[in-house]
This record gives sequence, C-alpha cells and structure tokens, in this order.
Amino acid sequence: MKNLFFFSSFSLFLLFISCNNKAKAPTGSGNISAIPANVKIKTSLWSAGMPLTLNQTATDTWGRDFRLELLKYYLSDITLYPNVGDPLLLKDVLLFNFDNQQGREFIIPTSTGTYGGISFGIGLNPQQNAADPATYPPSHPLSVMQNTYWTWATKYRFIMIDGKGDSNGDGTFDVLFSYHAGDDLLYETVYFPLTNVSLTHNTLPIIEIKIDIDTFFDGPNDSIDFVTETATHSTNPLAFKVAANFKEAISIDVY
Amino acid sequence: MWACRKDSKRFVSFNKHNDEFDLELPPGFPALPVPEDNKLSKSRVFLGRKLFFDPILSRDSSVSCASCHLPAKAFTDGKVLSIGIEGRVGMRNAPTLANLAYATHLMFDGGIPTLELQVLAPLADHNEMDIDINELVERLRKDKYYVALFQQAYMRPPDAFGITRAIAAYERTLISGNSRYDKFAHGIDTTCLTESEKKGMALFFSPQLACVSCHGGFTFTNNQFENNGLYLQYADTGRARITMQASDVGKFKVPTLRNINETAPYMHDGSLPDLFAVIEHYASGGKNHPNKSAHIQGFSITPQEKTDLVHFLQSLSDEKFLNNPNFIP
Repeated sequence: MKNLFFFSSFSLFLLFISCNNKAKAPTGSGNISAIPANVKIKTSLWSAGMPLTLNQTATDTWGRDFRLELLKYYLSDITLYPNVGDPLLLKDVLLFNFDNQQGREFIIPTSTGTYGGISFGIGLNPQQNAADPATYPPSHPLSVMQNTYWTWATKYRFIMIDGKGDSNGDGTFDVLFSYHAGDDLLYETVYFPLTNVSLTHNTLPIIEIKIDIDTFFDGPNDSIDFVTETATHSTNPLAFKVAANFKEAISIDVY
Repeated sequence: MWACRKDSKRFVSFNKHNDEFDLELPPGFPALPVPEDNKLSKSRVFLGRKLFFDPILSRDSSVSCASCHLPAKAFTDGKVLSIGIEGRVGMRNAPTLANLAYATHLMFDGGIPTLELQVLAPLADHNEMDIDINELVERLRKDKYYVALFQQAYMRPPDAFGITRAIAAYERTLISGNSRYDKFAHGIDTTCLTESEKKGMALFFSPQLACVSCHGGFTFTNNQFENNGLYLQYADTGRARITMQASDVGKFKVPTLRNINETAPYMHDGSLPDLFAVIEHYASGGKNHPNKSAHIQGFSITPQEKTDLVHFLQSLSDEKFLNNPNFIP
C-alpha cells in the first residue's frame, strides 16, 4: 500500500513537472527489465504550429518568407529515465537529416519499462567530437561520409541549417543563410520529463523531437536575423546564439 | 615493385611477406612516430603516392595534391596563395610537407592534429579540391586498379579510411635531413660549406639574431605558434581561428627552414617574396601587434651579413629530398 501511494504520488509529480521542459535529470537506482522492446525516435520541423518540410516556404515573426534547404543535427547520449531503476542509455549518437525519411526517424531497441524522462546532448559529447571520422563505416552517424565534419578544425558540426530568405517581400529569395555550429563549448545536455511512457514488447511508442523554426529565429532570449546574420561556420558569437536558440526550439511529444 | 615508377594503369603486387617499408632516417633524426593503425608498408606508401599525384581527388579532376605541393619545390608551389579548382584562390600559402611526420600540429593555424585527418581538409575545401568524399570513394571504387591497390594496402575497398591512411603514409616518408648543413654539422663533410655560409651559420645561431628561438631542433621549427609582427591587423586570424582566443590572433605555426630556398614566397600569406625580405622583416622587429612574440626584437645586420645569412639558409636545401625519385610516380 505504501508503494502504491509512493508511485501514485511520483506519477502525479511527473505529470506536474512535464510542463517544465529541460529540467534537471533525476538519478535512479535499481535495475530495469531486460525484456526487449523498441521505441521510435523521430524528428519533425514546425512553423506557426504547422508541420514544415525542407524547401517549403514559411514566414518568420517579422513577416519575411524563408525556406530551409538543409537541416541536420546530432543528439548524443540519449538516455531514458525509468520510474524505477537506473537511467538507460538508449543510443550513443543519432544524426537527424531532414533530407530523407530515413534520416528523420529511427527505431531503437531497448527494454520494457515505464519511463518518466529523457535526456540527450544537443550535438556530440567531447569524446565523440574528437573522433576520427574516417574510422567509421559510411552509414555511421560519425562517418566522414555524412558531410558533417569540419575538416579544417577537426570537429563536427552539431547543427547545420541552410536556407534562403526573402529580405524585402518582393517574392525573390535573395538571401542565403547558413548556420553551422559545433564545438565542445556549445555542447549541452537537456532533460525532458515524460508522462509515464510505457515500453512493452509488442508496442512501438514514438518519441517525437519537434523543432520549432520560429523559436529558432526568434528565441526567448535572442533572435537571429537571417538578413543581417547570414552565416556562421565557426565558434563566433552567432554560433552560440544558434546553439542556444536551437535548444529552445526543441520540444518533445510522445505517443 | 616499390621501385616501379611508371604510373601506368597496370597492376602491381606487393609481397605480403615483404611489404615492410624501409625508411632510412638522416643522422640526428629520432625514430619516426607512426600511428598503430597506419604502419608504413610499401603497398600503403605506393597507394598514397599514386593518390597524391592523381587529380581524381578534385571535383573536376583538375587538381591533385601535387598541384600545390611539388616535389622539386620542397612540396610547395611557388605561388603567393594556392590555386584550387576553377582557379579559386586558396586562403594561405602552400607549406612544405618536409618532415611533417614529426609535426605536432598541422596547417598554419594548427587546427589538425594528424596527417591522416589533414588529408580531409583540402578535399573538402571549396577553394581547393571541393570534392564530396562520397563522390571520391565512388570514383575510386569504379577503378579496378585502385580497388586492387586498396585491397593490397589496407585489405578493404577504397574508402575514407584507406584514402586518409594511404596519403598520410606517403607524406610520412617525406623526410628531409641531408642538406650540406647536415653533412657539415654531423662531420660527414666538413668542407661542404663556403666561408659565407659558415658566417651565416654563426649569425643564425648567435644570441643577437636568436633565430633558433623559433627555428631550432632537427626540423628547424619549435612547432609552436608565434605572432611575428607581420601586421598590426590580421585579415587571417591564424591560430585564433581554431582557439577563438584573442591572445592567439596573428599567431601561425612556425615553419621549418629546411629547403627554405625552394619555398618562396614566405609567410602564411606569401607576402614576402624572398629571403632578403624575410631577414629585413625580422631585423626591423616587425609591427607592434599586442600578440607579437617576445622573440621578435629586431637586430642590426649589414648587407654582407644578410648575404651570408641567406647563403646559410640556402645550405639547408636537401638535394636528395628535392630530387628523390621515390617521391614521384
């Protein structure tokens, strides 16, 4: 009875903090089930509350049209937090590439259980970022064949966003923007509470990582003007802004 | 078959029991640092050499590594800035590849730690070869000759691993340490330097000029990054491009002086046309950039002493290195 009370209280607590995105990850104890299960992790792009695809025109908060032509990003150390037991490393690294469906969703083997949170690093952890990209097989997210490696600086681009914008509303996409950010200094781990996600051996829950491009351009703390801030390919102040706004643009949906 | 220097498209085979590459090091040179996953072998160096000289590595098949790194120019190109595909102008002056096996950082900004990783940089650079590595691998896999060479060297079909390892293996053999200065310094031939060269040598090693503060050791570089006061404001921030530290602005990797006579023009941007201009720059003490090296203090030097110093620097040319038939296809 005591246990039932505890779990009910804990579930209510999780429900309460589920509105509080990017909270601090809890620490667990004990063991989780070893029964195999799968979970799908997918990503999607959003603007004005609607799904967006590459090369589809969207409008920023200043009323200017733009199109994204490339969107790739890394998540690393993707970890699920069971309601009981130790955190479970779901995947060491995933590269999301909006160019094709295979790059937007992954089915990942895991273990059955009920999970109350997920954490991941946006980008690559320092060890991964120091890897030699030529040593990985072509399909590996860290392979040089993924074209995410900054060869001149021997590190990876964590986030790559390229596109075109219409600077003056004349219907011509006259501005090219290219935001590539990647450095150990930009690496940040975030935690999202989940509302008791149950993984069983015969279901396939989906964890959707939603990128709100409007928040990316007009974040809560800073904005990125694609007309005047057209590019970053290094670790300059704009790269920090790109990383910060990208983090804010992420939300999680589970179904 | 290592001795085969014709770059014909005929198959070569290496005896797997006798594939060990025998690299003779010059006097005074320490053992060659070689990574565990890329031990030198005849087949690997052969493949690397072939790739190095093959324009298949560039997007439009017009430029090879050797386009900017010519053996006769100590693996530089004599240009102010390197020229890539479609006449695109590169960011910096092409550095020599001599003795890079001992380098702790590569590129003028030191952003690359190993020869293997460095191979990827010019391939991807828009102003150099500008080729997608996927496209390059596909090209090489269509070539039966390359498929066979990769198989012999690395027991795998052409891929990024083999490309980076093979070219690095070849570059690791580009050892230069047999100049007339070396013969003199090691007592092999005490008569091979002229009086002018000896006077220049004395100046070079003198505390007044203190050239060895940066250009010491068997490679004639301290492998450090220095701002030599070339400019008050740097268009190319150098080391700071990698570290993002203001204290590194205008710092560039100290280059080796071996074969320096063959590697004009000088500096990261090729802005100094000859060795006299270089000596005059250092004699002037350079511009007072906040990051300027404490080693750059300026000095007095007569015209004859400049000539002697240039003669000494010319004695660092290694004819065996510059004309080594094993370095070319």
